Amino acid sequence: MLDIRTVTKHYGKHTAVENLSFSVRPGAVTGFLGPNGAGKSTTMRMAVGLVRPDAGEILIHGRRYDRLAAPLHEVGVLLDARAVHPRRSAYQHLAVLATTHGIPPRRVDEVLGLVGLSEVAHGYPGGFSLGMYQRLGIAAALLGDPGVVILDEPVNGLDPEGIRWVRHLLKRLAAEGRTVFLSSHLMGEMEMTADRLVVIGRGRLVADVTVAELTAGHQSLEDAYLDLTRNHTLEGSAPR
Amino acid sequence: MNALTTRPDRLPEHFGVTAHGLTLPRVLAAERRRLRTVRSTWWFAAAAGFLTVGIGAVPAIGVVVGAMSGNEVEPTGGVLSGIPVLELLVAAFAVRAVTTDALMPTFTAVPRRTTVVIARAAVVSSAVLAAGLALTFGTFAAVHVVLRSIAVDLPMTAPGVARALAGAALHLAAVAALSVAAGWLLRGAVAALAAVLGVFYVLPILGVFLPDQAARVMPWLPSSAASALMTPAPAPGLLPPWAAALALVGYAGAALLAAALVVRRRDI
Repeated sequence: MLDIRTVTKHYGKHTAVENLSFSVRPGAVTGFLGPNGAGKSTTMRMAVGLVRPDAGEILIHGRRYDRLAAPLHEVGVLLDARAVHPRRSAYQHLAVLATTHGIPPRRVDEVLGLVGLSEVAHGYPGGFSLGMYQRLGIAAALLGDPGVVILDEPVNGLDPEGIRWVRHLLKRLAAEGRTVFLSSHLMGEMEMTADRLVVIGRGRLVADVTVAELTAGHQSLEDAYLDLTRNHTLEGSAPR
Repeated sequence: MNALTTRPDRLPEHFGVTAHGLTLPRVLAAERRRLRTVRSTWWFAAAAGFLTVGIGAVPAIGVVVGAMSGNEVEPTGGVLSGIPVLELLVAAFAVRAVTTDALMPTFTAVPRRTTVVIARAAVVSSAVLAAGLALTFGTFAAVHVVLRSIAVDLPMTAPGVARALAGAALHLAAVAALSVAAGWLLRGAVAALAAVLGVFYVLPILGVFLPDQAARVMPWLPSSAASALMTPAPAPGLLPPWAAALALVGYAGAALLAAALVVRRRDI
């Protein structure tokens, strides 16, 4: 369970997120939608303590991320797949993270196998394609076998086979009772993967619904989404 | 039971209860692994060894080839001649230990930022201290053997010699800690390196222009304290070695405290 409670974040005069509240529930894939600059990445960063909210808080099973005794076991996060040392092997990158929690090396081999990077485990990420970076980032997120998974644009740069693999992985994680929260701009993909949707615009909540509820009366999720966010941005009609 | 494999029968509520959690020893172990798993660490070590031995052996070689007489050799045998160059190398190494690694995976794995700042400084400084001790004492032993072959005695037991060799290593460890702090504070490698070099090379030059009253701070400058630690005989205008050591450790500690305070508040 991921609880976003009346969170606000300003960067100077710019408001990234304003008075945002919603919950991401376990056992479902929840998609996080919004135009560029709507505050999706900022919200995800606040969830794992990388960015400090000006007001409000984000709780994981009732506790702030930086208060968790074993963060990697509770939350797996992929925010920027390229944020790895280009000259430390994929295996050692994961092993450094595993060591902080006393996670045994065999789990590193396991997640590398799971994301299909076993053969390049000892290669440098500096030579990886974006898709391989994404797989390494997903491996890092799954390292601690976490109950909450937060992924920012995880299918960016993946090939069709990789996209399908991520879809099945996320559905399986949700079926196992985990909380899965992901952002993406690929509406078709979101329609196939997500059970629920949280839509934000200009840092405010626009919708918190099931995919079926949002799509009702529209040709596709894409149409429904564009309708919703256009209304929002033109009229500034954020719910108050 | 294996708490780590992905099993469908487990619910999120179970995940909080686990044998695996963050501890300081684990974070320190992770930081050691972080350091030794990039090749540049070993290139820096090789360069440090090459420079310390290469430059430190020059005075002894001078004696052997007859360019200097045996009694012109200082008590340390000139083995610390390479230290000023080593300062640059250590500063670059320690700054890079902070600036080249990605912050996001570091701080999502260990959200307690002060722990990360302290652990990284501890691991980098102790690696430099260990390498420094091995190099200064090792070079001294080598020079000792070379000079003995031409019947020049260079005793380790001479007053202040062992202390100067150890002091050089401590000085390098302090440079490493200051550089780690500068890396966190200034984020960019170039800015951080410039700041550290400014402290060690520019401050003493500026100090020359101080009026007599203010010149009393001169012995307390990091560069003067370093000289006091590395000089076998007490010299006028320098602190006693123990005070110099305390000063250097104090500066490093203060810089790291500042770094921890800044990093705690910063958005990544």
